[in-house]
Amino acid sequence: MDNVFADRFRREGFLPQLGEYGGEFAKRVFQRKDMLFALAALVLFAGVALFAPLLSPYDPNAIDLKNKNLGPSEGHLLGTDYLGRDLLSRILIGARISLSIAFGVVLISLLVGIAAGCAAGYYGGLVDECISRVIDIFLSFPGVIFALTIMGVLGSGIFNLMLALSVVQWARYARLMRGQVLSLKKQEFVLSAVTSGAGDFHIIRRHIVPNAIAPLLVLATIDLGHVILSIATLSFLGIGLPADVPEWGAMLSAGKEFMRTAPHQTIFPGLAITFVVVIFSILGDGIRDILDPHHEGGEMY
Amino acid sequence: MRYFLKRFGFMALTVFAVCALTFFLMNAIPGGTAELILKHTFVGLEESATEEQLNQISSRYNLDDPLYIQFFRWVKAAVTGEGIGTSYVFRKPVLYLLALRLPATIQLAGASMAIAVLAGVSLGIYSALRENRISDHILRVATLFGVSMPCFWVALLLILVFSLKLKLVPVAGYGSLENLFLPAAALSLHSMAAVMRVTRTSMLETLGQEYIRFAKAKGLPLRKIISRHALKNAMLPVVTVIGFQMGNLLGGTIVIEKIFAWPGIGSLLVDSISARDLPVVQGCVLAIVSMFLLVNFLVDMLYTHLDPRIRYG
Amino acid sequence: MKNKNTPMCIILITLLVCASLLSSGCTSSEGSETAEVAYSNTLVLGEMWEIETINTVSGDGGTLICEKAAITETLVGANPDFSLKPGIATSWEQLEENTWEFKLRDDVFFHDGSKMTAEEVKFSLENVIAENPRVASMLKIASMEAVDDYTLRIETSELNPILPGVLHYPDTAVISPSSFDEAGEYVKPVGTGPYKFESFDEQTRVLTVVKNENWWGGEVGLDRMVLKGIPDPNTRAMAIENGELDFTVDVPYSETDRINEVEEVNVEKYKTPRVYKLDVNLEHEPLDDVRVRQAMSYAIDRYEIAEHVLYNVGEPAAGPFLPSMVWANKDLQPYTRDLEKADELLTAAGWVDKDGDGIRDKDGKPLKFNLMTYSTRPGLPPMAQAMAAQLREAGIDVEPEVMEYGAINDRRAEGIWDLYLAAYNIAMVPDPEYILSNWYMTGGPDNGPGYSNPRVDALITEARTIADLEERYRKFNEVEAIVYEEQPMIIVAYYGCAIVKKDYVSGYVFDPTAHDYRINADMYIEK
Repeated sequence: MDNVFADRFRREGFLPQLGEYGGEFAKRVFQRKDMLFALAALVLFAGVALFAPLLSPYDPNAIDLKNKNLGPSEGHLLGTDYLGRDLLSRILIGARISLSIAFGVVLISLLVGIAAGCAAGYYGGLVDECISRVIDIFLSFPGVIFALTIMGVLGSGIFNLMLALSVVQWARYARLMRGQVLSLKKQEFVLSAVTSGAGDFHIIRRHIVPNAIAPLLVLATIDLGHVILSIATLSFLGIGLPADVPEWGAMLSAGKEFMRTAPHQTIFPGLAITFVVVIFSILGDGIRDILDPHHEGGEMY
Repeated sequence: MRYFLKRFGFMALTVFAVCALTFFLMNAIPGGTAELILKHTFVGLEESATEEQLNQISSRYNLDDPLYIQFFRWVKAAVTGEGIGTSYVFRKPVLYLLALRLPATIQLAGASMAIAVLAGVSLGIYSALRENRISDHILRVATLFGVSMPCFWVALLLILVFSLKLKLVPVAGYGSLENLFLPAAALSLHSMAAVMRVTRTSMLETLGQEYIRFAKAKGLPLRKIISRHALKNAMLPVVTVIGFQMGNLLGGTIVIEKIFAWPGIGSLLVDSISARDLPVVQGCVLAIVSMFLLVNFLVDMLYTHLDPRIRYG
Repeated sequence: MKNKNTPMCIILITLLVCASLLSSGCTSSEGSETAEVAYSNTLVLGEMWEIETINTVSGDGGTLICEKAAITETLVGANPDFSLKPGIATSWEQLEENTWEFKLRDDVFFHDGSKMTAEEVKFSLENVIAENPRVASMLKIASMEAVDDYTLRIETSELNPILPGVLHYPDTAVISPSSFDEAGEYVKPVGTGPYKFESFDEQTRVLTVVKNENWWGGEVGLDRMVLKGIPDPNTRAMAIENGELDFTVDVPYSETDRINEVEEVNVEKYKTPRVYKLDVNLEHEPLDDVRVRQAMSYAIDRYEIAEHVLYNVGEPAAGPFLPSMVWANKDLQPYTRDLEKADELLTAAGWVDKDGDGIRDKDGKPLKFNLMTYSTRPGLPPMAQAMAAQLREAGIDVEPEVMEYGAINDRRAEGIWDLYLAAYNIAMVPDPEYILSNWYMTGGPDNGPGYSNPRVDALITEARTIADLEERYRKFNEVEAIVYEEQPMIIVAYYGCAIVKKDYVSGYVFDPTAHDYRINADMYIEK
């Protein structure tokens, strides 16, 4: 494929050029039909999330026991759940909660991962050795235990859930970042910056991070979907958000009891999750094809 | 040789650190270990416990000692080969419990991996050969949706379709090949999609390479080109992805084992966490982490074998 | 290029290893399946908890072995109205304040063929006292003496009128010393019941029992019973629908009516001795105000909860006891929803919605509580949410929180809670004193709210010394009436149990005194 564009990014760094080449990046996105489609869907979801309180026809937490487990009808477009709450309203408000948790987790993991990865890759030696071992530990540790401990100690809540998931996720970013930094460190422009006496922090900020970030952004995009899946899994195990928070994963796992009698309670939240994850996967793949055609991120994605 | 020593040293270090982490994290979870053990073994969760009963439990399992002493005692027993503790709930040595439960998990993870690799590689090759044709697109979209569904939902849907509608396999249970089918299929879905995608990409890349074109030009049959030349090179990334997927599989077993009442260590781990059966939690974590590290070690070995350019120093 | 085939070989070998692992797992179990053919009258039971232990004195083992597997039997039995009846003991008598004498049946044999005498009963009780601090504290036994082969004399360390009731508790069931090996390690339960222990597969945790041909009680219905622990209610439902189970309990409540419609499967709903109750933290203002508690009780719609949350697996409750219990105060009726009365009471207590946000307030503080509950019992989380919604209609803001059990324990110990919804057993022992003193006496072990009423304390203490049952129950009825009025614990509903079985399973009789359910010896499979 045509790699000139990607090579230029690689050579000159991604972030500094973003303004300059943003147009070209956008053009490439628009050339790919699948990405365009995914982007449109994402905008739609984001819009729904932003305006959810305006769009939702009912209060998502209004319980009406007499009208429980109703199938889709004119009054309730997607039906009602096991406590008679309007499913459409819950899914709309849920978009906001699920997406913000996903973004929160990815952002925290990205920041921590970049910091740790830079420190390990740039300073090398003992620092690298220590950080790498910690990364190894976190990568091989069963995430459930972390989630359970954190939720147990801090109590259930949106922020605590974000924290619990971030603790599990950051190590992958750190490992990827470390590899990037290691290869960049040998490159000429970094070496010359070092000889010219620039400070470590300056070099990392100006030269390393901007050049190393592309594969991390790809990972982050795909991870947005994975985080939503993880929340669902945690809800299934009974750890996660309070039951009245309309989060998709929690709705799906609460609805599984009614799979036979009122299947719409699992189908709609399940589809919402599936679609969002699909969107992020397509976007992630697309961004990778544009920025990182040689798959430098390896199979981390 | 030095490389192996170093590698094993690090593996041992990681295992130790993970065990230490588990131990202290488990003690940080609220609930009072003695109280929950008591409730799980004698009293019933919803009943109250008296001070006297609590003290009895605490002294029986030495729970009042400082944590580092408890941990040191555990490590000492593990290193000297005495065993890794006795379950509070099952009242059996943890090693014995692991020996009972581990085969089920290995069987499940192994079967899933086998399905993932066999189906993933063949679908990947098929998809690569039909690049951009209808069947390629359908396959890719199908896998995309496959990976995007929560694991337990897929499992429940599979039960609905294959057990209740088609009456092909039993819902739950353990022991026969029929029982294995659904959990393994549900668990393998994510990994299968990952393997398929990687196979497809790397197949495409390999097929585009000079020597394959040359072989084609020489008039070698396609089957031969693929099996003799392309596959070998295309396998490199696939092997790596298997290593990564192993971690996901081990995590996924926790959920799948719960749904299918599969007697593996995943469900044991979750139950033991809520019962604060600390020795068993420790044992499960130890087993899971060791398996994960071992598989990754084997993958790395395989990788060196496949790609002679990589040499460890 | 000489090793071009090696990588494929390695992958193939790995796969082969996996495959052989699989097949080895399969072949090992096939042997046992063929053995099953020999028994035609086999029942497969889907048990609701994972079978963790077969030890009769630890964890769920007692209930499992005695009530669900019917391997062991207790000295004392109970009628459906919870009054006591003879079990392996034919009669008992309180000779002196602290001395009891139990007469035993003389025709009872253990599964190992030996005869059961007072010595073995003494051995069993000593075993449970040594192993299970909980049961030991209920028995309060100081010493035991086998007067003759069929007479056991028990000295209690203090006055213990509920001793016969405690001896109905499954952990006190009689086992033979041959349940232990020479080293004193517990091996398997050797009891006297209608079914004999056959095997327990420690890997799959499946317990198998077979008919006891020489049961003193007569003919036993089934040749064989296989108990499988399936903790997920959904899976149990699908498994019985798919014909993998013949008998199970507690499928998801919402599924009960649908499954009842399924061909060859029927669902029966019963009440079990357990209540859903809302503990109220009396140390937190304004929950110390009886008017606020009464208003809350009036705001909760118990009938709606029973119908729409529990799907009628459970019923609205008035007091802590089932109306069918012989000692229950039958005059009490469940609080019915009455928002006007709730409004009256709250207004009288000074709680009015001044700022118009729908929540009552007083001195600028909103009427707001948190409500903790846990998810191991499926009815609790939706009930908490439904109750919160109902209380909100009365202007009380309640925030439900589903937590892990350990976290709840900690919060309760630290006092950081307002309301706590839980499902409590009300007949661990078939006697009212146990529950009333644990729940309502000052400092009682299950008195979470911190309730203290001298009149209640006096009544219970008085009743302890009264031997006459009528008289004794009258005191307890008065206690029930007082706590019904004061509502330190808001009793919401009786816990239900859904028995799901195939149509060909006949002769099943539900025993309300069992802790989950009891398998009776008469149950059989109709061919």
